[in-house]
Amino acid sequence: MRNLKIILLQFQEVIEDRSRIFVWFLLGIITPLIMILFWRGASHIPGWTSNEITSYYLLAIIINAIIMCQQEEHVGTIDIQEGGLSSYLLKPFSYFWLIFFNELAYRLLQGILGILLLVVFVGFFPGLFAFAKSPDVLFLSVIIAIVAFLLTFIFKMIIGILAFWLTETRGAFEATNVMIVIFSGLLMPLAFLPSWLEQIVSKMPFAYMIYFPVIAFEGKLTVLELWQVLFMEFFWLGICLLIYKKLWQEGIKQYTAVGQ
Amino acid sequence: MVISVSHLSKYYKVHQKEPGFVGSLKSLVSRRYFDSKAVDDVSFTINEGELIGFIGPNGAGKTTTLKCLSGLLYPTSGKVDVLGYTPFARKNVFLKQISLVMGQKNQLWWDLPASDSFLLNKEIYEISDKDYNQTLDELTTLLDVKSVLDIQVRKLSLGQRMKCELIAALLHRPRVLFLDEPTIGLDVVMQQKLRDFVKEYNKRYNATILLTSHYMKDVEQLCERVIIIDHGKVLYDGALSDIVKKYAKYKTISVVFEKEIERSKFEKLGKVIGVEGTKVLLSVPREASSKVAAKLLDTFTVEDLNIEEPNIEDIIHDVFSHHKR
Amino acid sequence: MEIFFKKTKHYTKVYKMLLRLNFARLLAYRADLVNSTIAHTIWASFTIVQMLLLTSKTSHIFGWSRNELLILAGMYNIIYSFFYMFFSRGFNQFSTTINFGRLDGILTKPIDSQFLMTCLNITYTHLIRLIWGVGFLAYVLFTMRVIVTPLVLLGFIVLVVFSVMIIYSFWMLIMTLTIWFPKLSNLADLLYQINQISKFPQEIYKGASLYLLILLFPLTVVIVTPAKEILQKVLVGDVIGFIACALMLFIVSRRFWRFALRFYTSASG
Repeated sequence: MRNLKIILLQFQEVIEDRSRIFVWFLLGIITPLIMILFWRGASHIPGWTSNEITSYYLLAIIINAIIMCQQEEHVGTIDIQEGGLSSYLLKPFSYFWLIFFNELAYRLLQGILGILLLVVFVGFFPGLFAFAKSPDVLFLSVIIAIVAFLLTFIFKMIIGILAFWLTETRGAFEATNVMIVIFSGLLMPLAFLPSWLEQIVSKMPFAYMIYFPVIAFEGKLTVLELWQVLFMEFFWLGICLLIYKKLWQEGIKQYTAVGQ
Repeated sequence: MVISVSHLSKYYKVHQKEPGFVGSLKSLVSRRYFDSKAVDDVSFTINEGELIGFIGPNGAGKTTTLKCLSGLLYPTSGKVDVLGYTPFARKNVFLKQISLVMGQKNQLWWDLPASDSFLLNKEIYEISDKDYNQTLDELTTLLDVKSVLDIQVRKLSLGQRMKCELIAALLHRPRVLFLDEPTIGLDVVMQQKLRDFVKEYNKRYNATILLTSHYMKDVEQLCERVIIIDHGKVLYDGALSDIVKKYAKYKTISVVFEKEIERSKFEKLGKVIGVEGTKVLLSVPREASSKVAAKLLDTFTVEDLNIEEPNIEDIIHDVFSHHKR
Repeated sequence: MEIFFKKTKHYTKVYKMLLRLNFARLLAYRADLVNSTIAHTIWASFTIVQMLLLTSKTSHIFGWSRNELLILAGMYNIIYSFFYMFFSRGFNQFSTTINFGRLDGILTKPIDSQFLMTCLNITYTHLIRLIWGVGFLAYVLFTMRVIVTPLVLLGFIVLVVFSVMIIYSFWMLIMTLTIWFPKLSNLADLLYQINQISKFPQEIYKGASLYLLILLFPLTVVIVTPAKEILQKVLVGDVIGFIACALMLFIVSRRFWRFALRFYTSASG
């Protein structure tokens, strides 16, 4: 019961922050919308219909809102560098889970906004949307999305706790964001990348944050391929968890030794 | 007459949120606002060279009044005149003659020496080289910071930083100086140094100074005249010494007897506030205090006797509680 | 008239001091230099790489060739590095300045508040991005065998000034909203994204929602117009409209800021 209260408090905090959440949401939709308009003028699109591209970006907006965790700034700069972590460590509640539920609340609220946008779009342009129809595919897509969220969260935690060792995290955060934008498919579907690049990138964890969940929901993958995606997601999730655990242990030792 | 305030009022709209998770959800949909009367029909005038203290508890309206006087806030109603200007118009010629110093807010550039920030202010206020050098010299001597001017501000101690902030605010020799909670957060030594400086500054430059504080010592030492504000209203405007006479109806006599005396023997002389072994504290009406003291000395063997004015804080506290009723 | 000259002299002196102080501050912070260099190089390269990838399998977008689109990318780096150099720190701090009552210290100074809010800080490190932009632009123009005469270059520089004016006024209009919504600390982040609009050919926005277009129109021409100028494809009408837009937007943004200040309640009472 106490845990539930703490979780609800996280949600409460987040609801208070609603105007900023709305701005963040707008932030996330601008580039995808520009991209939709951009591809309209393309002289040649390799193998995708115009509808598929539009649906891709719309789905990417929602998946990005729900899955792309953003806690690394808070964890790295405010908690670790500025010492906010100390007050968390004194609390009888795991720091990790506190951040987890806090971030979950933000994602859910953003997700609601994203789904609203989707409903508006599908309402105005019904024919425009390409979406998976079979229940098997949809079910697996949902699982893929959930695991993608977990993967992204752990990944961003790793990035955040790099602050234990780096005095200036800006470079690392910016580099990560750029990599995510390009390699996760936010910029454009990975299928549009030069083939050699696509081969490499589709094995990296970034691709499983946005790209694969999106094309899963679009219905572009067979059931077998969906299982393969799931398998890779769990693979990367496992690796990230191991890395995170090791880094956290080392980092915490250093943090408490210095005595913030 | 340098400052003239006439029926000044400033109201804010504040919204109230119900606590708890349900309250949060409710606030998503609808919000209730109410009018908060920060300043409510305040009037006073101030002459050149006066050093006035604004006292009142937190949220009384002191800072809001100061902000209306310096042109930061647009009054809801009433008239404000400072040096012949309407503060809110914020004319440059007006701004060049005033200065607002707010306790902990810093203007100095963190990574550069204070002298660099001073030079920037020199350009902003269009101070001539001659005036600048003279004022800088006088102020840095008064505050004893000549040696730290070329050190990065981030490396200075809090006290040194505060002094430099003060100098930055005074380089243009303002005729009117608004000091908002200047001693807050400082240690006792620094507080005293600041008070000495303000007093000296007022004497030397004949600057009109308005000071808000909730430390009685600031006001006791610096201000002859005080304005007491609570809940946005002026409760008292006049000499500090008069407050004592007007509101302090009682004096405290503390007497140490040679040996313990039975209570009934001295109870009639005054109200017993405290007894600690041979020491007794009596509260007696002002006019009767010397008589009672004489009586005590006559009747008993007394080792020590003191007649004390009540604490100004207590007096003011009384003024507030009177007002609440 | 005389007042105008006096004011110009005053602001010039203040600005010279600001240039000096910001440079001193740059030197005081050596470690940050390395980090900034990395960050700015990443962003400069990202703009180019982004356009390269987007055009890797497509030859034309609305009639713009790959090279022409790369020119847009290079130009984006140039113009925005100017804007960011002179104004980004000021805009980034807008929210904290207003929220923590530091605007009080600004409003009591005998100098324009908008000037102090936006022009106080100059981040010289953006010059790195500028250099990348210029280098890349020169390279693409060279491969396209476009000859840039001194006159064209002059026209280009003039248009760059007005481009920055448009971007500045647009940012000012939006950021002024912070006075009414002081909690919106991520408004500047939103604007960084909105800037992306100017990276692409104007044509892609035709047919998009009319309302949005009216709002964001200024940004859609900010990069495209100087680009067309250097490719010598620009029309006189475009240029005149461009300059008029810049001046008008600037005046409106100033009026809006002055209007908003009446509603500033400043922190704590």
